[in-house]
Amino acid sequence: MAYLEIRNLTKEYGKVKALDGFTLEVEHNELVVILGQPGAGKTTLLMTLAGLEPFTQGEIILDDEDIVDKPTELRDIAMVFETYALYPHLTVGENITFSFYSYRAKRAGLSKEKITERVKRITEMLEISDLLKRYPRELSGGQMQRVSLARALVRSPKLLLLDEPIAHLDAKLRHRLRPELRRLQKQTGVATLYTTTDYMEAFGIADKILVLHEGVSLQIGTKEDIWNKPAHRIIGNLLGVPSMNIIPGGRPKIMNGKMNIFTEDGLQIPVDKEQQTRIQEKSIEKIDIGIHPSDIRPVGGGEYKPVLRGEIYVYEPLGIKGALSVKVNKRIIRVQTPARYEQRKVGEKIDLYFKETDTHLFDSKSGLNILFMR
Amino acid sequence: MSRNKKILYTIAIVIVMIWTCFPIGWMVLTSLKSPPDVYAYPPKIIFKPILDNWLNVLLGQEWTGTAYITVHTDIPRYFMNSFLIACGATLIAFLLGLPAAYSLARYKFFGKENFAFTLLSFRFAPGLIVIFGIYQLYQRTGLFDTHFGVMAVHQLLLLPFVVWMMRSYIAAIPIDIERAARVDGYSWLGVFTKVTLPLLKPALAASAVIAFIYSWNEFLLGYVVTGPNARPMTPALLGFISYERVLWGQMAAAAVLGMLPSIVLSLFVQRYVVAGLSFGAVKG
Repeated sequence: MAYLEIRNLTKEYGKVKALDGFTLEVEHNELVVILGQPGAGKTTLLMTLAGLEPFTQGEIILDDEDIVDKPTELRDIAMVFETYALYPHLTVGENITFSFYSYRAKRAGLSKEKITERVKRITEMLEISDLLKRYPRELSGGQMQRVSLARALVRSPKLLLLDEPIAHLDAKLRHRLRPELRRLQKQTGVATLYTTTDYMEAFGIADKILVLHEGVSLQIGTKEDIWNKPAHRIIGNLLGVPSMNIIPGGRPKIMNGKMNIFTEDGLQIPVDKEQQTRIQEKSIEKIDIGIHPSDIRPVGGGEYKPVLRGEIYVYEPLGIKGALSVKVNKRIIRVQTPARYEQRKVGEKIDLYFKETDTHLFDSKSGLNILFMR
Repeated sequence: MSRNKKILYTIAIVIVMIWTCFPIGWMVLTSLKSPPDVYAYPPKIIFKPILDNWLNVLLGQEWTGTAYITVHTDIPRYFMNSFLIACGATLIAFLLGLPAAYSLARYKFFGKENFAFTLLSFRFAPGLIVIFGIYQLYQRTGLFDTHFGVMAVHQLLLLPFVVWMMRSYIAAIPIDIERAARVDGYSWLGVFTKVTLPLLKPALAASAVIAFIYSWNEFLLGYVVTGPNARPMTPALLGFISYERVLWGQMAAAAVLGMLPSIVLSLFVQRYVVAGLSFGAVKG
């Protein structure tokens, strides 16, 4: 049995389902990232786990104990809020030790020395030891974030919930804190659920990623699983800068024994053997094709037989790489390039190549990856 | 700002100040006048100030021309009545109003806005409309001329004020702060006493002072539901108007006395201009 088991969790707001049959297993020491767009139900999920929001049905088992009927204060779950939610009337030190002075914690009777020792350890780890006398209003965003983390970790909780903990920080600080968060989690070994809208953040720190969309869990897996085999068309939109090319409404046709997909825009995309069998098995009529911009390369000079031909629509230099938009018939295909493509002119002809195995085929009707269809 | 504009502003401010302060100043002067000076026409600005009115009102000492004799004065007692009533009424308003305000700010329930509006609508109706009903009710229930009776009737004024003020202050505290405290192991009551109340302290102080002043200054309700026993200061001032004469000097002295708590508290409340209640703890 897993350390944390969430089974079939459902929450309804009137007729809207904020969570629909949500199921997840988290092991001790594991960091699971919940990736999803705003409004996907990420915060609702964490609130429900913390007992701050009621839910309609389901089971939550933490450390061999059903916690569904336990009130928030008895669950021993720590949470870092998107807004940090520090107590404005208390100093940083008091904020961090606040949980030790609840009625329940007092009865548990952790000694003053023990508390001081823990605070010392955690604040040194987070490099905020010199801030203890300050008030939250005197802190920067990054410092507040560290304090709220310290407040959560100092308790050694059974489960740590991080609700977009670095979303409001500037990009530089975000990049610096990301690996630190992962290191901290591994050091403390607390099972952690972490929500984000940013796939890079998810890929950077997760042991396991869960993609949530409109309260439904679309896919659970490693970052390789999610990147290489996105289970649903929507996941394609969440991944990559620029995000995955989705070419809708293609019809499969067999020519000379080999299957190709002909799209509405007149594009012809070849299909590999495994996909072909799958399409035939399930007799799928309409297919949306997904290709990561990083899987497409501009070619010329005959080393690869081009798959698509188009003209350059626009080029965006993004620093270490570039995003090239190529117009193929009426459709814009986005291609990730090294920065040198800046030289090319708008309107210039260009050939594109990608491997058959790099395309991701989704059933137009359900949006599911054809490899995952039952 | 140009020089001319500055001068104009200053003049305007001076006019407003005179307009506001003149009646108060006049009352203070009247309290220091002898009866002939009070009635003098044209009114005297320069006169020989005496403390007779104050001695009479405060200590019950009256100057007969040769010696002080002891007379009866009820003003200190009425002052105490007002004090008791204002404190009690404020306390009741917060005991009842704070939980109501919290519910209105934090929970969804059936008829919530209607309830809040009904409470506010107490203040739309002129007091005279309800006062006869209340008089009848008080006579029959034995609440007439009791301190508690006045405190209760003052809730018509104070309760809507407290509920609406505190509701907006509570709503201004980010709910995540309360949630964080729940997660930190505190029960609802623990969160309320350890987090919500301390954050509300400046708001509580300001509202309490204003509520106290409302109750202290109230005239009509206090006048109708009291007799000689529980009468507060404001209606008691009418006692200086008798069949044969009006004791303007003494009335002015008592009125100045009655104004003092309001003035002192107003100065006090200025320090609590409640800006940024939650101290910018939460980044939006």
